[in-house]
Amino acid sequence: MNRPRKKERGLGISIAGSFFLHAALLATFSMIGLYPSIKQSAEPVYYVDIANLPVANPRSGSPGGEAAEASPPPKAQQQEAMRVPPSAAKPVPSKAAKAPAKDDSSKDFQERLAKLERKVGRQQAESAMDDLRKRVAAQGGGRSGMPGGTGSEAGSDYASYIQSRLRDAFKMTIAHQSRKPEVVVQMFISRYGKLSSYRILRSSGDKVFEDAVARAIRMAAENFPPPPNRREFQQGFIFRPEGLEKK
Amino acid sequence: MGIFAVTGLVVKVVLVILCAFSVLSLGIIFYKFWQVYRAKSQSERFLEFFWKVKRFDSINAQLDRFDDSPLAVLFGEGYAEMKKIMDKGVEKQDPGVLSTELGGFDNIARALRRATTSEITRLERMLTFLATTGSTAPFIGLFGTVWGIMSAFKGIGETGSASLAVVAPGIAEALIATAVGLVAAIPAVMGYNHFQHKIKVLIADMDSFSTEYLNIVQRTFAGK
Repeated sequence: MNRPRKKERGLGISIAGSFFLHAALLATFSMIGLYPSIKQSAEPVYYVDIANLPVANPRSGSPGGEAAEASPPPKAQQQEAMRVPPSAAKPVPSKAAKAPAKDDSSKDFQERLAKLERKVGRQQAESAMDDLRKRVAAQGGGRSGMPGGTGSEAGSDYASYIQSRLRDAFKMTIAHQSRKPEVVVQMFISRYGKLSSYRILRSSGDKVFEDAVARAIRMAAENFPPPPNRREFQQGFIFRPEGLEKK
Repeated sequence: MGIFAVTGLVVKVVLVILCAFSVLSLGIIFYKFWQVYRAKSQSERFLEFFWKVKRFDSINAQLDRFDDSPLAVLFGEGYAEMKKIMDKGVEKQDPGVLSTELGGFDNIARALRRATTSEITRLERMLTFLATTGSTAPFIGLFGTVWGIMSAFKGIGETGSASLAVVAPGIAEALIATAVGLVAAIPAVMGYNHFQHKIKVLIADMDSFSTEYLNIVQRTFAGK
């Protein structure tokens, strides 16, 4: 006859001991901070242009203040400015000057007259240059960041800035099923920099691509700055898999 | 516990299962350490006693002292069988002689073999759980990881962002399941291998004792 089966003495105690050991280890690890802390990144990601913000016409204009350094005027104006002085700068030969000098006193007189004429010519040229500078300044060509700027200062090319933000967002969301999808979107941005709405002007028929475009717009719109001069802004953009362009 | 809180439901269930596996397997390891230690130490003491006393009836009277020794169990089974055969001999008016005609030695050998098998079963009980934990816990953890990564990618698709800040936490959460699976499996595999070796030694001891016991019985009682 077999002996009656022995009871598993101590099994319950061992399992209870194991449980408490696990609990103690968990508590110790928690207190020491051995676990890697996993936190979702709550901080928004900021994008910074390494160069200046886009400028509509970076080479136009001159400093607003008179003491500031002048930027080179446009080529056509330069040529015009260069054309102004010659008539005045060159001494105009007078009849007296053309007449042969008969004695020393008349020669001196001729020289003084020529000097005077050169001085007048120089003054006329300077006056013409001043007029030219004033005209250019009046056209609103203030240098980037200078007080005289009225449209060409940093960030004034708002559309390019928005395009840049959209391009960055679109790189992260891009997905498409068709071969060469193309979506044209008209965006409306409020004076406070909020995306008021956007409208798809031309659809590609690729739902995945349109979703990607919509996600890119929503993502980029989180960090839009207000448009310049606090005016509402609207602009069309053409989205393609290789990037996006202004319409 | 912060890690547990941020994981998804499936990964949570996987972690709970793995923790249960870990607790049970460690409990079994503790228990087996104690059981094998007792079996070994009591067997040594029993053998010492066995060779010192040399009288089977005296040894049998003291068997309760070696309750956890498999050798004591073997002796008890063999002695009980021998006693039965001898009692039969008394009935035949030939006391103290084992009848080879009736296969008396074979009966004792069978009783010893049966007791050996019974003791091996007792010693190996629950080792299967350690083997199961060692082999399946990493896979359960891997399942949790795969599921977690699937969820992470789904989240990435929904947010539309593929930056490292978005991807990395999801992957880290998912990998916790594999880590816990390995934590459960490694001690289980080590314990299983250790106890297999110890039990093999005890089986060898039992085989040696059985052979020795039969030799003693044959020398003492046969042809008396």
